[in-house]
Amino acid sequence: MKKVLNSLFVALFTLTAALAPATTVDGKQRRRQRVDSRQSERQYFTIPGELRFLFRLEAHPELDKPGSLWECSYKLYIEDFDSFSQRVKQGSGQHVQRGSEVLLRKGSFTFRDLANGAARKTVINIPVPKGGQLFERFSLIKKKPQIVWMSLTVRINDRTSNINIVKDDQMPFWDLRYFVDDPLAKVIMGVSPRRELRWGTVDPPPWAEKKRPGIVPVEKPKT
Amino acid sequence: MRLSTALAVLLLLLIWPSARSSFAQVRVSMREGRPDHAAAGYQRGRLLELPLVTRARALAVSTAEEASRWSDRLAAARVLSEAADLLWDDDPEQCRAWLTQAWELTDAIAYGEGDKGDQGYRGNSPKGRSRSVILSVAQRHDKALADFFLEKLANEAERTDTESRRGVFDDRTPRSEQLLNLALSVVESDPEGAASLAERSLVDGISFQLQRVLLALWERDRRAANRVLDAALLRLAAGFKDPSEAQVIASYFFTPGRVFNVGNQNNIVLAVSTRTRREAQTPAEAEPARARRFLAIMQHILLSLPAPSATANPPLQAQRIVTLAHSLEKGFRLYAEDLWLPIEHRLAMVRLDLSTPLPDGGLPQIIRERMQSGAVRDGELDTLYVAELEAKAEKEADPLARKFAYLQAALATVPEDLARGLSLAAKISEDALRQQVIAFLKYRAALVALEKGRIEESLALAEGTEPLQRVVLLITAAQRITEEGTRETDEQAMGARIRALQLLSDAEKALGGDKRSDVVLRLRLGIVVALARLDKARAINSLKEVVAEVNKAKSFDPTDASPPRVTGLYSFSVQSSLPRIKSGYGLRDAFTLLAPTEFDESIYVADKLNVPTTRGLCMLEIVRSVLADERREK
Repeated sequence: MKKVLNSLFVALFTLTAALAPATTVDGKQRRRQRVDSRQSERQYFTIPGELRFLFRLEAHPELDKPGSLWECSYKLYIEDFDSFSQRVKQGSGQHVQRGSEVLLRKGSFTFRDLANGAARKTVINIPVPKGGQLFERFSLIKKKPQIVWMSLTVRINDRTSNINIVKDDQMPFWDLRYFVDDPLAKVIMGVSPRRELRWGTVDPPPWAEKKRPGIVPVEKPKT
Repeated sequence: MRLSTALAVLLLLLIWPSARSSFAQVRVSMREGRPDHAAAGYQRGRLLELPLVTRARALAVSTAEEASRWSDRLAAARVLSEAADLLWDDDPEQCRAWLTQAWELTDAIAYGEGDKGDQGYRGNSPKGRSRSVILSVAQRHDKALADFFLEKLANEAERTDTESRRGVFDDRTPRSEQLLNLALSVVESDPEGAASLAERSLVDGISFQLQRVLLALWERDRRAANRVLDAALLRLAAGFKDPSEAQVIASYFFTPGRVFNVGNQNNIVLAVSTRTRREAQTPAEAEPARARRFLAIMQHILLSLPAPSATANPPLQAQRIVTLAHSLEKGFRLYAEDLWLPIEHRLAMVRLDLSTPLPDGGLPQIIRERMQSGAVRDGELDTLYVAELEAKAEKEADPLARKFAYLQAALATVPEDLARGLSLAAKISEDALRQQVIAFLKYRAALVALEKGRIEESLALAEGTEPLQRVVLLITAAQRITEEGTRETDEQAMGARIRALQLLSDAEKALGGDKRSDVVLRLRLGIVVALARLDKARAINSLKEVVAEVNKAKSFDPTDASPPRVTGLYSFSVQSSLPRIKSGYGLRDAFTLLAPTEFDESIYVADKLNVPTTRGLCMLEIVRSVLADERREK
């Protein structure tokens, strides 16, 4: 019980720490953007100062050993919903990018020592500068719905047992309106008892509820 | 003769519980050179005098009786039905009672319990499997009893219909599943009987497995296949319930062994049977009039299906109609082009209700274009795909992403093109990962070589693999050498024997004293199985050690006979790209080979197993092996 409370506290603290700068430092900028957007586009929502993505690897008793590592290579895109939908229907997946997608961020990270809970999560921020392409797409969101999607390859390595769990071609995606109220977009990963890597964009993750990942349901924007 | 056998069995039943263990002790004391006091005992002496087959039958009786007290109902049901199968000719009444008891044991198990099937695609419930075994034994010996069980299933089907039929490729009801399982089990020996069973399954609708039965009948007896098909078409015309029923028949006619359907996420899913042989003609080509009749029925159905907007789940209904129409389109063009146009009009309206499908992995553009052009040579797509992945890796600037890209490209190569795989793996920047991938590629190529009988090539490749992979290859090679049958000359036989023993000795050296992991335990069982054909005394000794380790293991599956997973790499379809070895590493494999000549020792060793279900399954395997040996000799 004590351990559970401790881990909850650590998780809460980390999230608070991650959220704090976004709500204080960017406060002015965000207020300005809100006014701008209301005046110019008559939007009924706030364009966030940044898009934030949390990557988290769930604990696993066999893999959480010193020396083990978690590697992830990702590419984040934004794309018109129609183009995305059409491309997906054609089955081209991530191999061929011939739609209207724009690369937002490309990167990778490696975390070692998975026994340490803090080493199993990271947040990446993508700024939404006023006048930038991302800001424009937000502004026209009613006319042209947008999808943010990610191409992802993950590897988890257990050095002690020399086991590598690798998964690629993963493609979590979100409706851009999901970011309107500045929540964290989550990519939660876990390893199944059969050592298969699985992922989800909701918390608790889909395998806990026996669902497949997909678009996060979006409620009607606030008026 | 039968009376005397029954008396002997009765006598054995009376003395068996005490005799079994002491009898084993007798054998041990003989092996260890101690004075054989126990063997002098009157009862035991009598026991030893009885024919081997009689003793084996007595063992089956005692095991079945023990099984009925187990808490593991599935294992108990399995042992009871197997014992009934083995002893039916001796005592049909008792065997009937065991089968009934086995059926009742499965009654208490829920359908989803222990289901390791493909989630959402096809269930593989232990309950269903147990019942298949029980039903096939009943069908073989007492058809009235099989009918009685099927009748019970019919009542149950109404209760469990929604609970158990969750997978896209599940059969319509538990009854139709069992009827089609039975049909498949007898299709080779009795095609007419199989056809009758398949026809009976149509009462519940057209099930996924019907296409397997139809294809098996098509190979064996086309008249029987057409009889079932005609009944299925009548059923389709009179009582169409679900588009998946039509997909089953469409698959049989136009794409044998490949069935399309709509998944739970409105996505299109395809089931491919690896067991379907390619015939020169598809059933549609051979029976164009029947194909047209089917298409005429389907046109009527497709045009009269309710509009998606009138159903509870419009996107799902729309996807089902579109997928079904696409499965039939080529058939319409070839056999009933005049019927297609109204369907195309319907599709144009239905497509409006389609939802956005989930993304998939997809194929590179170049491959899709080549596939659409139809001008594809054997192996060309594999080459193109790997080239595409390599090009992607070369362009990648991020070191981590580049490492992943080369990894994916190396693993996407075909086992036969080891050089290509190795050249791509050599570009993986991380030493440990690169070594692991290279070892895996060599292991995969070595297993393929073994499968094709190229033992020396496989052993040469084994040198570049990881230690446990090499052990699997050495043991499997030794097993293959000993399985190869009688050599032409004694010298050749001796040479093969020496070679196999050398390989096993190398494997044992490589394992060293490591007895801890499940992997090592399974490998040691593989050594026992190989030794059983070469040196029975050594095999028995090794088996004793293995049994002691099995008793210490946290979990052990006595029904698993495949080699352990030693790749260390998970995903990228790594495991599924390896040739499957289905036997040679199971506890029962060892007893199968040892029991006919080392009956008493085998019982002694099996008796040392702590877990009752494992012990019981092994005892029954001993009986089966002895009785099979006797049948062969006759």
